[in-house]
Amino acid sequence: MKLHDGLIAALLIAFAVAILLTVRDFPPMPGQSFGPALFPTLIAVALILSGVLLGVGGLRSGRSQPVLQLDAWVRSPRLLLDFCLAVGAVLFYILFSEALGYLIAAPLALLAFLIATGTRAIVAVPAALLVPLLIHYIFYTLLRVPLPWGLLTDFAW
Amino acid sequence: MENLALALSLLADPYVLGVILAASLFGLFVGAIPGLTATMATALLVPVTFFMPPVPAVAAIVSCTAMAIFSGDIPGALLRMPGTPASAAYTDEAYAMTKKGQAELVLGAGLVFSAIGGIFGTIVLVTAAPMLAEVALNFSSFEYFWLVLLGLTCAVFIASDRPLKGFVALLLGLLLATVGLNNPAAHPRFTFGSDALLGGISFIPMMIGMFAVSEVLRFVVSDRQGPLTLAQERIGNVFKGQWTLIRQYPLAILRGSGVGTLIGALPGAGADIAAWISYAISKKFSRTPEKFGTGHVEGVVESGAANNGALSGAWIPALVFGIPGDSITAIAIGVLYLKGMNPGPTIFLNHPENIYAVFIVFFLANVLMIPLGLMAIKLYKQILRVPRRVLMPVILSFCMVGAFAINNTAFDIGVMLTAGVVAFLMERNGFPIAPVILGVVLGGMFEENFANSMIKAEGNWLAFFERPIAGTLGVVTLLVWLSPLAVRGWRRRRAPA
Repeated sequence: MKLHDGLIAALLIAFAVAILLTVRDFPPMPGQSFGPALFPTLIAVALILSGVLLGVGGLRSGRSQPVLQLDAWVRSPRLLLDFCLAVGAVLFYILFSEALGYLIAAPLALLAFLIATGTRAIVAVPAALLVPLLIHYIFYTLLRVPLPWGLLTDFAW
Repeated sequence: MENLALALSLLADPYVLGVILAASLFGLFVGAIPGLTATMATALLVPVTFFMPPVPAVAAIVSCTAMAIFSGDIPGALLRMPGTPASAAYTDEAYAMTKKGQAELVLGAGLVFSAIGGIFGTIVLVTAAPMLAEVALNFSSFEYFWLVLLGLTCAVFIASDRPLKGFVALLLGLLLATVGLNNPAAHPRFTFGSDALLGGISFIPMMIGMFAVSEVLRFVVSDRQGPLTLAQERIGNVFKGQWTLIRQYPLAILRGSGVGTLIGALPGAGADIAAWISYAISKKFSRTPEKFGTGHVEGVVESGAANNGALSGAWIPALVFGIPGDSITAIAIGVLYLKGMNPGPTIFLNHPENIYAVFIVFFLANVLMIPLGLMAIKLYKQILRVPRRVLMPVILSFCMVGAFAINNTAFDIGVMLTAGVVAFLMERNGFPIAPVILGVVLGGMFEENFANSMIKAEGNWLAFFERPIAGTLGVVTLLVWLSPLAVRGWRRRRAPA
């Protein structure tokens, strides 16, 4: 997904203006001529300047370039679905790992990742079952990371 | 001397040696698989090193990355795919040599000159870092302000082929660093009422996202062609003819190691850029430049030494000033802070034995590279049997737990995912990632030294130039900023009217 430089420039400038509006409410430091707002303000101003330069350059050289150039994978329904599946599975894990527990949420997420890379079921299903157990052993048992148990709390070890 | 003995005793521990060996094997594996980078290996290691004492934690990163940068040469020679970006400069050359039946020579050259470059860089690191630290002990906030600004400037002008996009990436990194309470006024900035953001955006989950998750996403949307085919399966004696090469190209080896170490020490530019520059230098000064590109070993010798030299060189500013020389040391600095080994000139005063131990690990890793690297070359066919379509999902599962493990919160997995998607989109649109990292690592330090200097200067801008070293650094920084204008003006004058 390639955006026209002009469009990126517009986005950057809008973003910088949003920062400037947010930092207006930051309190000044008593007795100093600058406060917590100064540094973000400088960054925002620099972003606006680079946005203008990028936009001018983009409009000058990229007239024939489309505003939004979709890569092959965005136009291929399968690859687009694969991408969404991989990102969606991470989101699923973030939202539900606490409630379901690592040993339920992680195999489901890994299965989705494996489907997203086109792995055959005969490899994907055993891998999705075994790899989370291994990771659980390394992080929970050896490194003592409190991975959530969720629904399986009664069986926790 | 007693520090050296203490350092040796720290390393003589079987646990530490075991960590070095395991990290080395991990690095060789990651480097040898196209699409997995040395920086990614570091990001994946960090959640595990998080639970180790300081010396093995840093030793793991050092040995893993040294191996990964070497083993990136293997798929370059046998598959025409660089294993890590640091081998990209001479991949075509190496593959052309394999096609001419010289696979052994080019693989051996990669191995031997990687080790030589790495050892050269280490010698420079061990000599230069304590000397620089001695000078840096007298630095005030003015010197640090300019030093950080010069570092950020290098990242923009050297590390990116389009400085404007590099500059935007840097600004985004600096902006990310402002999130949270960590500022001179302790005012919560850009937290949007979230408690999770008060401490700032967690650095390590962000790194995992930018360097590991983004690669996995790139793999998911690639066309994922079937099993890779090796140009040559049986590899004979790779050491044959290496001695002749050493005698034939002593100057190139020295130049490659030196230039590599120097580029590595410049903030933001790492092993990949060192290899490109050294390859170009090698061609320019070669007696037979016409042979380059046709399967000629000279450029491989010089840039193969350069990328490993860069790896060691990058640690010089990282240890002495806390300014990372490349994205690997950017992550390593995060680890040093977590381990209470805060980088800065005092690192040589507070725990000298730890630092000496790290120096010894550098030598050890580059020597260990020869036998382990030989093994990786011989076993390459087997390494390649691991299917990437299974490996990538496993890496992603590991990333999720790794991001969680730093603060035990699912919020950080969200940070990781966001960083991964953003890095994926940025790369596609020509925005480099390294300046973002540098901005994040140096943002806090930059603002703090700026604020302190402003208070001391009482509004007098000239105070930034009054101390001799600060003034010199300041002038150099301003000159680098003005250089694009000067170049443009010069070109315009030269151009026919």
